[in-house]
Amino acid sequence: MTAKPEDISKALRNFLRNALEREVEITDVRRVFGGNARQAWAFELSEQADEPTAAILLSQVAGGHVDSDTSSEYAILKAMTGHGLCAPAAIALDESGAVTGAPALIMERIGGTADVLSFLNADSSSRSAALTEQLAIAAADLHGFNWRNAGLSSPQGNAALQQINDWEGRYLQSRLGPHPALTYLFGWLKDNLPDESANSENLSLVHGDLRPGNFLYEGDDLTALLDWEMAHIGDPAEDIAWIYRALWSPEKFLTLEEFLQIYEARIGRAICRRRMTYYRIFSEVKFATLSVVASASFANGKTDNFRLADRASKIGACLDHSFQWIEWLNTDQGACDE
Amino acid sequence: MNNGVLLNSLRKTLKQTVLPHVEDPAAKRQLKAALHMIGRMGKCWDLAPAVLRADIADMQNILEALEQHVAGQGHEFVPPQPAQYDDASDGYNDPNLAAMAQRHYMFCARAEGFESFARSQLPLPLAQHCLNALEQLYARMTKRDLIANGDSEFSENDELMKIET
Repeated sequence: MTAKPEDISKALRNFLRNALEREVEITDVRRVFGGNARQAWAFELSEQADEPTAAILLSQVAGGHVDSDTSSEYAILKAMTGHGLCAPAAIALDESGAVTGAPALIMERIGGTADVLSFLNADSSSRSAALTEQLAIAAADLHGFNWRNAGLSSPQGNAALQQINDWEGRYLQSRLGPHPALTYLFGWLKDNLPDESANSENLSLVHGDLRPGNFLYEGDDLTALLDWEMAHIGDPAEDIAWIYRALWSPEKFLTLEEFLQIYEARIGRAICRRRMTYYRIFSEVKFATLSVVASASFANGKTDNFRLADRASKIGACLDHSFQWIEWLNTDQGACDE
Repeated sequence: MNNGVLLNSLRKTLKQTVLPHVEDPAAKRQLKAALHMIGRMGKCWDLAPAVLRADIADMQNILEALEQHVAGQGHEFVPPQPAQYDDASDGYNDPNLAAMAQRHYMFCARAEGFESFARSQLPLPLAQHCLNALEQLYARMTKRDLIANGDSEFSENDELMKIET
């Protein structure tokens, strides 16, 4: 059952007074849409005589199909805060679930809409093209961020392998039966790992779910990147490949090649196109896994969301793209020229 | 009226007469998702037998050939036992189709078992030969799966593009 705004308001005030160690007032608490995996509450946060800060609380919901670590997401937001990146500032972490009963993070609320349909079906394609160009710049700034100096830890071993193992673990835990094609693709990804030793200095803070629908915009201006729950240290190509997945791709506004040119000019280094293709395959395997997890959540009664029920029907397209790209990699003998 | 006609009519009627009267946003999202599922089922409700049959024949053909090939070089693969796959026939009414679904399930497990065997037990050139054959098998099965699911990644209902990861 959903809590009442007045209960959330009271719990928030008590929690934030303790967490921030100062007097705060909470006003205008209201439930807003936070996606399938989170419950969101918008509110105004006032401290003494200062102007109120627009803030938002994002709480995990039971039965969410993406297991995420709220404290890790908060640590990443905290590390980015104050560095001029296109991300909301972190305010506090409610790890014990004092406010909503589940772990939650509290952060700055930034104006704009994340409406993916309005972006993809834009009457004015020039606006969506401008936003995609800004997304390329925001991605380059994120990937150029010095995460080591900000206190984030290096991955143990190969970063790509960690991601593959993580997603394979979710797949094996959730699947309702054998799926040899998807199992094979996990093996293929491990057999063809990119050589990170050649460019370990390029490992970046990767958003992990960067795409239309996960950035805010107001008119022609991109205002913030949202939903950092899958952020990690990894290969920047992973984010770009995900942005250009077919389901939400901005390709009709800005081709991948045009995007890469803007991105590379901003960050000052090139992305190998073969590595890009490797991460396009990784993205398909990741989306297929998310679909396996989503449909299993419905089948096991963890969620009643019909959107998740039918996600298994999306897996075929992911695998088909993957096999086509593998074929392209097998025939294209070009090497990385970084 | 066959099931395909019935499902398509059901979808059309719900879309025209019920959807416009649903105001609650969460209920509306659920109804739109259900309409999409009904539409998808209308496109594929009678395709499963042919796809299952083709997949089984393809898997049987490739796996038996590969198993014989590696056995000829001194490597024996023992397939997993079919007794573990009782749940595979859930939801089917036709006993023959249920048996075919279970057989499909069994071959999928056998394929996974063989791939794992190839990766861990076989010398590299032989393993690579097997993996190449499996990759081609899976690419063909994927093409059939696309047909069997009656769906492409793009929904005719734009609202459903709001897929949450």
